[in-house]
Amino acid sequence: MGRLWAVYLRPARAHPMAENVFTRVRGDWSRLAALLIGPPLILSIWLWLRYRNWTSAWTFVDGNWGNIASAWGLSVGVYVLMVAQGARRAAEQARQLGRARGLLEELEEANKKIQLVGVFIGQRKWDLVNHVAGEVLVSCKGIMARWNDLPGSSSNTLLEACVLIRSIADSAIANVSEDQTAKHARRLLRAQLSAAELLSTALGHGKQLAERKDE
Amino acid sequence: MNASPQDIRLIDKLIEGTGAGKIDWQATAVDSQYTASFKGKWSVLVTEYNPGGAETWWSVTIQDSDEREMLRMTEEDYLPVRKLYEAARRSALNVDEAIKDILKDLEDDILF
Repeated sequence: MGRLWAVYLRPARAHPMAENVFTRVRGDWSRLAALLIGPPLILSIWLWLRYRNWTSAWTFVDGNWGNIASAWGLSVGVYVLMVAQGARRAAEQARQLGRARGLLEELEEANKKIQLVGVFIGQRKWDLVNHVAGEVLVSCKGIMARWNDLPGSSSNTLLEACVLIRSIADSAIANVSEDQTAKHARRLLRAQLSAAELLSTALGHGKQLAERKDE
Repeated sequence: MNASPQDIRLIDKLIEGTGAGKIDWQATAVDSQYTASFKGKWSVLVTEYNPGGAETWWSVTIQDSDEREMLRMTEEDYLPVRKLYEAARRSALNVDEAIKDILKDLEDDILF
């Protein structure tokens, strides 16, 4: 409960890492205390300065308690609204960053799998080459479809990698005569290396983008 | 299929861009096929079929990111398609750089 209050009472700054915001505000009771104690304290000082007598001051409060409570309630409401808006903005930024990180992890996985494709080409395991290249292709297409704010150059790099991976997957199961196998494997390996290079480039761009958002 | 003026313009621009080194062509795993992508949406594939055979022909294909074929032209539609294939091959294999290096080496040998 205390943590919940602390979250609401601390205006979340425009920070992409919402978990950091939540961690930082844990146990911060100063704002809640200021909000609860501050207005009555100011009112008491003002009443004391005006009447110099608690009986007269109490008479004033007794006659205007509705107005005082309304003003206090309004200020609390405005503050809570500001805090809620900040928290929503921070949560949205954290969600976007989380999504970008998920896509980056997927891209890293695809990058690892394309290396595996190279190993299978070396072992002439064409069915596996076709299968794993197909998996990498599906991952890359999914990433392209979901990563809306990926810069144009990176999505171009990813698309180029997709075309190469598709050609690897298709060529792996094409009928090749015995005397052409070595040449076929070399061609596939070259395409696999180019695809791996393109995926690494896209991964680098993606990481750079995430780091910029992180700052 | 007859090539439209826009198709012809596209092929000419691709040849021009390749010559200027503005297009990054990559060799695919398919024999004698090269690809380049644009705007993260479109891929151009140039292919030589039956290389060295009695009947060799060349094509250029444009496809979208879902691999749907948008346009296919052969050298029968527009003769410079073959020229585009040759330019893409030279660009993907860095032929010009190799020639430059060899020439430089040969010229250095002659000098010293």
